[in-house]
Amino acid sequence: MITYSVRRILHSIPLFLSVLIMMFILLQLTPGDPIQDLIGAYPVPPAYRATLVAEYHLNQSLPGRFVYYLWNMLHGNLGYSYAGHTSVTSLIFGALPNTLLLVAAGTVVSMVFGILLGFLPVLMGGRFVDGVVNVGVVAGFAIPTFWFGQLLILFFAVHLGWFPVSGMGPLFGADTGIAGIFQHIQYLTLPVLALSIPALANITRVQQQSGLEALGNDYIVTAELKGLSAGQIIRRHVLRNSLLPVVTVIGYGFGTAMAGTVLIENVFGWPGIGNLLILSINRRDNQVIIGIVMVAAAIIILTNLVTDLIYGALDPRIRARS
Amino acid sequence: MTVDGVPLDEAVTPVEVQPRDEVSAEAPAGAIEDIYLPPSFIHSARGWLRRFVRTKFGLVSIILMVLLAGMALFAPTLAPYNPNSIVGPPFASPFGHYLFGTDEIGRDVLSNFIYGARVSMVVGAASGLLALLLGCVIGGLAGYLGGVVDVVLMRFAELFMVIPSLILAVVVVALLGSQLLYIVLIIGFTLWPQEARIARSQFLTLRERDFVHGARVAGFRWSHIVFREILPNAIAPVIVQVTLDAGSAILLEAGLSFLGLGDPSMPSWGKMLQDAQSYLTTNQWLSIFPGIGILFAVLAFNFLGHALNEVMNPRAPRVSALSLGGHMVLRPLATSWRRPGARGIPEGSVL
Repeated sequence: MITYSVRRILHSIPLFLSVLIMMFILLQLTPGDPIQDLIGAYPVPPAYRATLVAEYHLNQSLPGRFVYYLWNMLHGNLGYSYAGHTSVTSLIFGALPNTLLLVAAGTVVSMVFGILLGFLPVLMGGRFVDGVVNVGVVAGFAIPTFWFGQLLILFFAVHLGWFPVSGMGPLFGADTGIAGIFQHIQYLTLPVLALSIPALANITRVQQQSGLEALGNDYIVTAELKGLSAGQIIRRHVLRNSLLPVVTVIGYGFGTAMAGTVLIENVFGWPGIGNLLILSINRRDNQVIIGIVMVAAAIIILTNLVTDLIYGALDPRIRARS
Repeated sequence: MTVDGVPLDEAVTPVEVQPRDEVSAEAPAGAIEDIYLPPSFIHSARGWLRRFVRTKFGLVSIILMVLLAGMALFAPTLAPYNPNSIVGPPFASPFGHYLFGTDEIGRDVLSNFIYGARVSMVVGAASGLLALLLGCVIGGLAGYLGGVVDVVLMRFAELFMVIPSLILAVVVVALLGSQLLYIVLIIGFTLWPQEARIARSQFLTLRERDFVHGARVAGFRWSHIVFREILPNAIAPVIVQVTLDAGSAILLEAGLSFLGLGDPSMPSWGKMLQDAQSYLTTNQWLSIFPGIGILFAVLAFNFLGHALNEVMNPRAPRVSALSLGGHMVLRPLATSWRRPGARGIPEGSVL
């Protein structure tokens, strides 16, 4: 287990560095002059420009600038937002908790309902349940999340008035205590529902497949002949074995949700990094854009790592294979 | 160190191919054709089409595809108005004089809807083709050559899988520009790793098959082995994946347009949804139709993928074949051991 973990951890470091290099190159390809961006639309004396170029190491070679960028990043400095007049780090980490709340809640919802829905055909058998779940999965893969979000707003917020249309909480007079938590959940419900759809479809599909596959194994026949009840077989043999592949899908679903949050936050006016990304794009605030991609990639690499470690811990075959 | 369970030490050493004239070229070549003929290639086009239509999603996918492609091709004839011109009062309700109503400045929604099919279909098809090309070249190289090439190329593919497609597409389009060409290119570039992984594993297995060894022994050049022996046998699952990914491409483009990063010169369903976002509380109709358009375009490609999978990979069992027939769960189980071949679903098989 330790060798496996160490190897897996070491594997993700070059991966993150490659993302960094790719983003750095992309930034170099972007049209525009960073010094002019920094100063604004004023003419600059050449001497002043030269000091700025030297200060930000822009006169160095490409690898030199990359090392400078890397060095800054290791010190928590992702650059300066010219439009926001603040550091990129503070902008991103101000918005990140909101996004993580949304993504984590979405992952939990898609996990719980995905496993339940996917296990339904296993429990109930029959073409009908199987067919209904299949239709749901196909629709879940095809529906654009942001449109589904709009439909949710139309029906549950505008038509029925059960949930607020957008935002994270009321502008004035937010409730406190228990009522405050309920109010929070009320604001969270619709975006989480919309966000969880693609991962939900994927988890349902995998759970359904692996559940039915586990059902077909010889040890199920053995258990049956041994005289175990249906409930015991389902709990001890089918469920436990079929959950293994689902773990991976849940982990990767987190990544899907991280991307989907860009759209969902825009539909629901949720103040997270997805909204910040679009705001920064409209302001042409390139440092923030790159910073957000770096943070998102780091989070996804980390969750993939954790997923693989959990998977390895649960299934000894995985450890043995690598 | 291993890649997907295959020890790297077993990196393939290039097989020393004997010149053709030293071996009798005719006999083994004929023998090779006897050894293996891919099932999808021996049947006539008509038989193929018949089997395709008989699959669960075959007919539906063809109908949807023809409808959407027709809409995209004949948009100028079909659309009642110019999609960009103001033809009536703003926010006219649907099913009246204007079938889908008018938008916030009085443009005809139906005309925009019809023209919107163009971007989606072009992006789906073109990005899919690009992903197919990239995936086959990179995955094929990795699987066929193995060794260091394999490791490097697959690490490169992993890099693209770590950054979510949407975020990567958003950033690249935002930094470089949002012409349709860029959008098609970047979406193709974010999708290819899936295809590359499948192509790689196909090449990896097929290069050790007897008919490939046979072709090597017969002295065929690598180009013949790769393009005539391995590729026709490897391509089916890759094509299925590309068809499914074309649906993702449409969703990605719609997402980009929704965020205001679509090609500004063309009407698109995502852009219509972006416009509708501001009027959600007052004019609900605006967001209904474009969403349906996206949904059906994605469904068309997904159904096509499922149907192709059924026709091209007939040996892959499907979940529906495993339906337990309306019995209590343990009833069919007691008999399942009699048909050992009838169970088990290979990883990655669709539906």
